[in-house]
Amino acid sequence: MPPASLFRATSFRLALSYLGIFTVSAMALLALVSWSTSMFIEWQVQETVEAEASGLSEQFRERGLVGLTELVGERSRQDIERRTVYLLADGEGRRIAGNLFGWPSAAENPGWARFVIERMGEGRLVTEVLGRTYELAGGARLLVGRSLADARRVKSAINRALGWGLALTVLLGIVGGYVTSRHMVQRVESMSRTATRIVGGDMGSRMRISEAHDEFDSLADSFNEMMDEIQRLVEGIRTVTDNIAHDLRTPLNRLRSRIDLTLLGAGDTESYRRALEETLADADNLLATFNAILTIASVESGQRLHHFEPCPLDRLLGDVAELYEPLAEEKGIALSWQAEPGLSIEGDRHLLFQALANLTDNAVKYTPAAGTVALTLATGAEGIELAVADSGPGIPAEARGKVLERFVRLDSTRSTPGNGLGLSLVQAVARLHGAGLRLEDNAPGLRVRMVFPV
Amino acid sequence: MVAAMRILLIEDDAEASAYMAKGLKEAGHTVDHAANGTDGLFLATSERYDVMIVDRMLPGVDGLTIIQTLRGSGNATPVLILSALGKVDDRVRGLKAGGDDYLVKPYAFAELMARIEALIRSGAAATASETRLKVEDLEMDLLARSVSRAGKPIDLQPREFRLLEYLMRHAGQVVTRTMLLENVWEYHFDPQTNLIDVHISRLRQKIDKDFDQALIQTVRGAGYTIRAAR
Repeated sequence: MPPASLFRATSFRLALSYLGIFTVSAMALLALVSWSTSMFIEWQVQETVEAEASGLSEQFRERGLVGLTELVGERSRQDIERRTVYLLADGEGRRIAGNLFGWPSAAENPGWARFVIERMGEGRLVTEVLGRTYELAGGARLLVGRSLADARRVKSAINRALGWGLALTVLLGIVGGYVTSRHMVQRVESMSRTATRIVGGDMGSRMRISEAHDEFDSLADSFNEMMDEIQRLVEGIRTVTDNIAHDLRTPLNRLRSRIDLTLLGAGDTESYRRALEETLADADNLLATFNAILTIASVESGQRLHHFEPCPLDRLLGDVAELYEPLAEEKGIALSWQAEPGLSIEGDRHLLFQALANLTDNAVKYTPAAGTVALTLATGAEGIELAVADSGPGIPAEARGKVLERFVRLDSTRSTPGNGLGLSLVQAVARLHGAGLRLEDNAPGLRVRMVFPV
Repeated sequence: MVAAMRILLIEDDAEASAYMAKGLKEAGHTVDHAANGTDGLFLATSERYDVMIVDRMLPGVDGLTIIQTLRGSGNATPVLILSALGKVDDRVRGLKAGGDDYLVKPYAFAELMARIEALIRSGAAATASETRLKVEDLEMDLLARSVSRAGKPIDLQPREFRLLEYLMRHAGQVVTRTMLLENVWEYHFDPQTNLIDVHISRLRQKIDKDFDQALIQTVRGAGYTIRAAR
């Protein structure tokens, strides 16, 4: 992957901006830590100074200026680490004892002061000091202070550690962002390549699904499902086109030949009339086939084009049975129906009626005299079952899938009327309603079940 | 057949409308033809017609708008909508707009004629709420749900009763198989077999078998009618 595309990648920009936000907040946090550390250190210094001063003032109360002078001198000598500053001066500002030799001008007044000293005790020492000046009874003044050098060292050590931490954070962020976005870019680019292949005509191409089961996988999965559906529809259209070409061309040709022949012959009015009537019948058949194709196409094109309403299935079944009962009787077939009352689904009643009528029509058409056709509606294990069973010749198991295809007719002589679209429409209607269509052996005969999951 | 009618035909397909006008004139009706929606709406509002045939997709003003405009101005002339859009939803939309019947292209001329005549008849009959129907010696009592011929009661199944009722309400007119399916069974579907013929022949068994004069007639290439044979 070229670096340019990586830096363009949304994921990388996203990673960068997260990094920015993170850095700023980490810096704010570190500043707070650093500030509160120095506050704490300063407070500790003050405590130390005050503890020192209170010890000294006790001495002053007990033994007066002499005792204090002694103690200050002793303490000054003891402070070999040169951390604590002492200075005791009389009313005129003359030094009495301590390890400082001049009164710092910043500490002239009683109270806290911060000042820099250059000498301490015997040697030279440049350091910042936080100290407090006390006025003593009798005009003497005492200055107690503590070097801030230790505090500075602690503070800078902490700051250094914080700085390194920040640098490491930023580095990790950059590396992590790069790795993450490179991963994302690769997956997006793989998807984009697949899409390009599909656009290029390779309809069978599909997105790769990784083991991770992440959002990309679910996106790829949805995309693949969408492509399956599109492919199914496209193939459906292709099949229809092929079949229209095949199954409509033959009757159209026949129709044309008949007209041709009629015009060639020296016909009388009667033969013309007969030819016209036959032509009209042909045209009607063609239209019926055409309408069936259109209906299937419209049903397959999806749900939103159809009017769904609650359909009481028991009534639907009764209506179909009643419609076909005289026809069955005429053929000497016993048509029976049995419906569990109160079963209803959301659906298009006209299409459901058409589907059930097609099944019943087939059953009555293929069942020989003295046979039976049974329509049933019941709640089964899988849902609501609408079944049409007959005692006819049935369909061999290996042909059951095939009869659902358009224009497929098992009767190759085509001696029975029909266009081979009946079951295709049933299947399309079943699919539209989310129902499964099962063709089974009725031993003897065929049983077709439409199962509506509930 | 019914008396001569004044018919307005709004249809932009010149050849189709020429055939239709010719057929309607041969049946004894007067036909005005408009080839676009604007002219059609003008004629529909300025003249009086017994029935209008309106194509749904028209240049200018579309068919449904014409019907809505007419209904909005209180014009109740029966309207038959012609359309290439044949789904149930399209049909419902057409009837909601104020159409009285909906015929999907392509159609048989006999179907068109039968529906136009049915429209005019139902327009006239809608005012009188009949309780008894009578064709020759066949009588139907709509309240008692009973049928008798020459005084002899005839026992009919509920659907047979409705089938006969529809035929008798349109006595003397041709009713097509599709009209029967839509009005008696109330489903829009294409039967693969001539189911209606079987139902009619059953009805004939009960109505006509024991009598000299057959009342239910088959009209070749069109459908059925109930009347005394001539």
